Amino acid sequence: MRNATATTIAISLFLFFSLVAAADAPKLSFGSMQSGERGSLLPGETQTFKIYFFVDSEYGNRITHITLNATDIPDGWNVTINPEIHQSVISVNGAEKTITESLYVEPKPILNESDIPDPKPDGIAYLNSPSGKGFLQAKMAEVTITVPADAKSGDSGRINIAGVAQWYGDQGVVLFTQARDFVYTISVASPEEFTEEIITPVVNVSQNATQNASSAQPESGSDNTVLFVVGGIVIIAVAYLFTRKK
Amino acid sequence: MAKNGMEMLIAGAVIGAVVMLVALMSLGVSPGMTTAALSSTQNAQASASVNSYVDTSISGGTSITFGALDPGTSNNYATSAVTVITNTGNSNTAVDVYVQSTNLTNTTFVIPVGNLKVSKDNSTAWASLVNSPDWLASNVSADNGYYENVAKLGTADFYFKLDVPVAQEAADYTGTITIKSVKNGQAPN
Repeated sequence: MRNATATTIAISLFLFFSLVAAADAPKLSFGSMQSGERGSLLPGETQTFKIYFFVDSEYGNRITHITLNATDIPDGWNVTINPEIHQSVISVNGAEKTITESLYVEPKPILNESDIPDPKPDGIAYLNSPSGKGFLQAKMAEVTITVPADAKSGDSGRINIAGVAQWYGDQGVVLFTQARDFVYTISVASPEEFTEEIITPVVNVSQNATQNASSAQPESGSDNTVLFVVGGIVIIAVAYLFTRKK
Repeated sequence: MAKNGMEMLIAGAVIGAVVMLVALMSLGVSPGMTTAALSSTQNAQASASVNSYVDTSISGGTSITFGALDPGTSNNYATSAVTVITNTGNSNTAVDVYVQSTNLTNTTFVIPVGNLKVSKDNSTAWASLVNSPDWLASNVSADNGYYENVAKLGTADFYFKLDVPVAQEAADYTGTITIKSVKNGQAPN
């Protein structure tokens, strides 16, 4: 009887601590939403795009540290990212550590619309999740792209923002990171007034058929003349009949 | 009599004009008459773009370890059973998953990246990992991910093992495995 009780307690404790350990097992989430991928700018013009980052606490339970770098910048184009890369000091399991990042995102639950704070806290955007479960609590980075003043109409530029997400804590032999690219395609618009000119008109089959059908008919100008002549005769006749003396 | 003659002449001219008009119309000639269009169609272009949401989560640990290994040994499995990538419900696109790794290094010595291997099911088709800028499964071209078209709420399994070269120097080695998830059909840079 005592052995059965002890065994039961041991098994229960084992299951309890297993569940606790499982709940604390790291889940490394990297969520992003790229708002806009294309633009059309005049030479010298600037456009700012937004990228949002989030950690849904259902899928992530560690702070995600994100670094953003602009790569593949065409010659003469200018790209800036806000916030810029900077150093931060963090405490991991009580030990301080200096790291390099653009921004960090903490795990937060999805909110019902009614739970969104009013006023909204600074620096937090609320995105309607494609899961349909509610609103993601996200932080935002801004990418500002400037076209060279001497860019030619019809040119285009492809800019890549390379994002890397890192996590700190367990220090095994090989760490995991996640990477993601945010690509922008910008076309250079023409500053001049729009013009269009037909250089070589193309005659297609339907046009030929129309021309062949109309060539068998008198032109509409002569048709109008016939109408006027007939009308004139009728008017003169009626006028004579009404004005003649009996 | 003269008046009757004139009236006959006018009547004849009117009748003749009317007959000519009727004859022209019966031949399909429209004598200057047109009908107003009852309807017209104009086209205008509409466009919209939908924002891209990608949310992927790694479970199984922030890192993998292989324990204490002897030089000249191979097929040393990571102590964690499997690393799982989930394309979460917050995504609105399927993703292609690419993987690469650094060499394993300490301050002086190196275990080349090719000794670190990955498999989807821990049984067949182990592939050696590659350094940046290359990715598994194939360079940097689109639709060549190690996992292709992982659907929303889908998962991708990764198993790892390590070969230790003969006469590898004794040291503690570390490295980084990078997993890149891109919108299905997009090339990794």
